Amino acid sequence: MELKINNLTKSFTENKVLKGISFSAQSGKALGLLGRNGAGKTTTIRIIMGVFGSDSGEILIDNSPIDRNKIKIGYLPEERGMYPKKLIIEQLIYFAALKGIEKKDAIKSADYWLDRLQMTEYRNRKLETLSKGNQQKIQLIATLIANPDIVILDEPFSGLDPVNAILLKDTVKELIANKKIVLFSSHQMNYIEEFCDEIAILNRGEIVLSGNIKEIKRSYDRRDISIVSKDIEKIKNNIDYKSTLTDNGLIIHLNDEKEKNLLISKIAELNVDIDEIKVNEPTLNDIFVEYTEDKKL
Amino acid sequence: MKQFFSILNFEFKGYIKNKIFISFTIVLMLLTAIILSIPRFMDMFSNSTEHTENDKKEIVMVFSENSYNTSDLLPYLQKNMPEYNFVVKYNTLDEAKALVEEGSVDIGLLVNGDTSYKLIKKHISLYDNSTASFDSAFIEKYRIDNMVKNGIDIKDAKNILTVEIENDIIRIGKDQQKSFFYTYILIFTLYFAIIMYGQLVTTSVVNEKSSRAMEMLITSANPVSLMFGKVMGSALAGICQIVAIFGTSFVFYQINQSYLADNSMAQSIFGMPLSMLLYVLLFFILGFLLYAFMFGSMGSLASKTEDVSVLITPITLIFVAAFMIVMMSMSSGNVDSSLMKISSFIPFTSPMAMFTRIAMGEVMPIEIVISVIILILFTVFIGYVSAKIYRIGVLMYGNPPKIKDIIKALKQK
Repeated sequence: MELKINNLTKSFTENKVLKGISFSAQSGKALGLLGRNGAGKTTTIRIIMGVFGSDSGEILIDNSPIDRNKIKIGYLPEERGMYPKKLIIEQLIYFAALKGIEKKDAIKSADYWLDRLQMTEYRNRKLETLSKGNQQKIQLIATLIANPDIVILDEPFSGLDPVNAILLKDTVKELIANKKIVLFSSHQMNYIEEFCDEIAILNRGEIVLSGNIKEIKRSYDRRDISIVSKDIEKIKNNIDYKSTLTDNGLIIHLNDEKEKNLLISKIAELNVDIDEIKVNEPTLNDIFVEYTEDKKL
Repeated sequence: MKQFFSILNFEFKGYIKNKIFISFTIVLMLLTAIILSIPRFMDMFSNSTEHTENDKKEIVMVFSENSYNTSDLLPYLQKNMPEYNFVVKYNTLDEAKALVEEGSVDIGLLVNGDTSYKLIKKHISLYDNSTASFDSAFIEKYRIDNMVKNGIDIKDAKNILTVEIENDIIRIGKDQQKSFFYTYILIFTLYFAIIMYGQLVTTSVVNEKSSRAMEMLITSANPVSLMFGKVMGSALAGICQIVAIFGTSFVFYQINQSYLADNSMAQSIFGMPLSMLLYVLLFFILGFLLYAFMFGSMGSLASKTEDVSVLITPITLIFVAAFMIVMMSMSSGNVDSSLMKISSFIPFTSPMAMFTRIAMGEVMPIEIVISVIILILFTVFIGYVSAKIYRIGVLMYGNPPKIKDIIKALKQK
């Protein structure tokens, strides 16, 4: 299944929020939807969810307009919250019912996820009695309870302790393995790099970069080689290339990508202890900042 | 539609599982039961005291310090005040005071002449009205004595004084004395139910917004279902509560019927025609929905509970004004004034005004039909607009928007 967003535009009272957004996501893959605050991520998500329409553009599932009665979408909003004073199982059933799930199936699904996320003991408690991280897990269950085809996770890792973060990681991997379309929005780039094959970077209502992360990185200059070693000084002094010392090691600036092997054989001759040697790729963070920074004119 | 019923069910259960809602309903039911049983309790109480009173009638000692013949007065006193025992003695004021003081006599009556007397009592209770009874005995004697003096036969004189007038009213229209109380109670119920549940709807919307459950709701359900489900759920809870309370009152009226036979208020309320109950149900549902939609949409514009009061004040004011118009017309008795006639067709006022006119005034069936149709159409319209405002409002956070902004956003679709 493929979700295709085609040229969406939306304005709120003279304020153009989306200026022609296009991207696509495949089932069994996660798409990282990146963007600074106010870039239009939430608006895009809300249009996908059908909270409001777009001014123009279309949302396609396998090339035909989305039918929200058939395609279920689970959404974990960045602003978390459910009914603090209601029992957890009750509200899970309610949120499932809103998605058209029968009570019996909802209970079954709720119990599966409560067990999966180690929350069974809280089943019959009021939501407000839980810690913030646990409330977030309950909300994740509410997102997934109706077995959605498309899962939209907005900052799913914020506020989770490392153990819960691992639980959530496993869950996300399971969703991807189960052929769901996962849209993943976060500012924590390490998670994006871990899960997402594709990214779309939104800036001021426009997609400024989209595509496969690896390919994007490959498109960058590959003449910088980073070396981590105890004998950094020795390497630096015995090599003819320009080099820069960094916190972690040394970056050597080659004149041509093809000189890599030459460099390696030279280093090998030096007989030094090497921990790591690799092409110095930009991090996702660098790319994100590059594309979304307010450029001074 | 399925979604609507899920929401309705959730909202309705939210009410009937709420401990405050349950206890409030039970307290009201108990109060109704107690109020309707009061005459029975009073009766039990007064029956038991009457027995002891018969054994121990208060003693009145009649005396005079001049030559007045107190025995002539005695029949009049006995006739007018059968609850006392009268004894005639020849004492002085001081002696009488001493007797009253020691308690062997309850009241001393010192007769100065045909038109003047003094009472000697130990205590004067808050509700003392004994002089009135003594007065009437004196007046009767004085009048009959004078009539006889002027040559009228004593029998005729008595007949003249005790003449009774027969009367009857042939009613063509409505009996406002009978309809007043039940109209009053029903209007009050309508008023409180709409205000109370309207505000509950507002609070419920604001709570969903401030707890951010709204983010989940609005992305899972259609705003029209959310709005209608919430409002209908509250209406259903309100009707259940009213049925519970009215049901209790009906049961306790049946139990205590014989004790309430001469209570005109109870007679008015429970003698209410069935059609009135059906009308009140109709106007309750329509009026409730109309106002609940408005209250709900206002709730969606608030981000915090603190903003609510400012937003709902205009609606509350309209509603209170409607209530005042109806109440004032009711107490003046003129429920068919031109103000009421106009009010009974304006949707904001018609639930109360038209109901009052049906109950207490003269209204043509066609007028009722027109008023109800206008009300239904307007309610549907308001429901539609409210759902639109709601859809925009629930996604707005921060300060409540101005009317200008709402209209702008509505136009944008």
